[in-house]
Amino acid sequence: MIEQSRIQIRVLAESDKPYLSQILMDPEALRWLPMTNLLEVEEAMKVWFLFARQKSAYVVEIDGKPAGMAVLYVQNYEKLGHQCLFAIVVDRDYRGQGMGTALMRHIMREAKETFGIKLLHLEVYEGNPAYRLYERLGFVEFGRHPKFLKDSDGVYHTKVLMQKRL
Amino acid sequence: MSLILESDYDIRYSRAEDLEFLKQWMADPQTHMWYPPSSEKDVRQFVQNWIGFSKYRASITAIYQNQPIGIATVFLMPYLKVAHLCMMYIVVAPKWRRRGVGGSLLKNVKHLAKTRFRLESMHIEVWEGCPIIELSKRYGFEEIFTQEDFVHMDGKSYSRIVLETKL
Repeated sequence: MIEQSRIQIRVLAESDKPYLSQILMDPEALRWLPMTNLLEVEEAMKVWFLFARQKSAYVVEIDGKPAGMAVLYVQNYEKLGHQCLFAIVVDRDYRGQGMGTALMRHIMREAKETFGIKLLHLEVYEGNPAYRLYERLGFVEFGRHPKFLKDSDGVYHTKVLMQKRL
Repeated sequence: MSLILESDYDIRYSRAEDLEFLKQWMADPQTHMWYPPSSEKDVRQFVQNWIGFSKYRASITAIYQNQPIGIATVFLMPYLKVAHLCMMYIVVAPKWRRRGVGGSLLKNVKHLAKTRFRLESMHIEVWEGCPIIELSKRYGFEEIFTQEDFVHMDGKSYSRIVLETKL
């Protein structure tokens, strides 16, 4: 486990792009994401930077170096504003060392206290080891979308949906 | 009110100018309650995004006496790994409901998704109570999951229901 004093979480900044791109382009990260190539990763990053403008996208740093990110897709639609989907990615070199937990706790706090979110939910592909982290933090599975993802080998993967009341 | 024959109206690809009709229909409270936006500004952005798929010929409009009376659209997915499926949105002009237009649009939009885009499945995301649920079930859609408390509207909470059909 990494000492808490070495971990810092802040809002995502434009200058994080190269690090973020590097983390996302890791084949082990891409395996669990809907994106396939740099073009798609850059499109996804554009969306995350839009959320960074309203301070709902974050970077976790270790010793000042970005090691993961998370985004709360805060809804501007009034009737949907009490609930929020989020996404999180941690650099493979720092997995299993408490970074994901620290980032998750941060976004759960931000969702509740800054954005008034009452229901936080996520989408994860079946088999992703992060499922256990979400369970440990109180997220409960509520649905599955079979054959949601189809990889380049033509193999289908189920999308699993989980949520937690804040 | 009676069914109108399919031969009485045409179905063509949607055009950018159909946006104005989408906006009008969304101004009806009994219509926009089933869609995400609430405010006028939100509706503007929402319908612009919706009709934006017309440039890919992914949207169809039912026309009766030169007037659009309903629209159904294939929301194409942005990434390769999910490009085999799509989400679908549909709306029928308030005064043309329960006359077979929605069913005809559904049948045609499924055909469009399968033949033009070679998609494997189509899903819709609606709130509980939405009339599209029963209509879509008649055209092969089945519920795949429900998320309680997804929508808050007029002091009430509604579940999100996702239905899917194979193409």
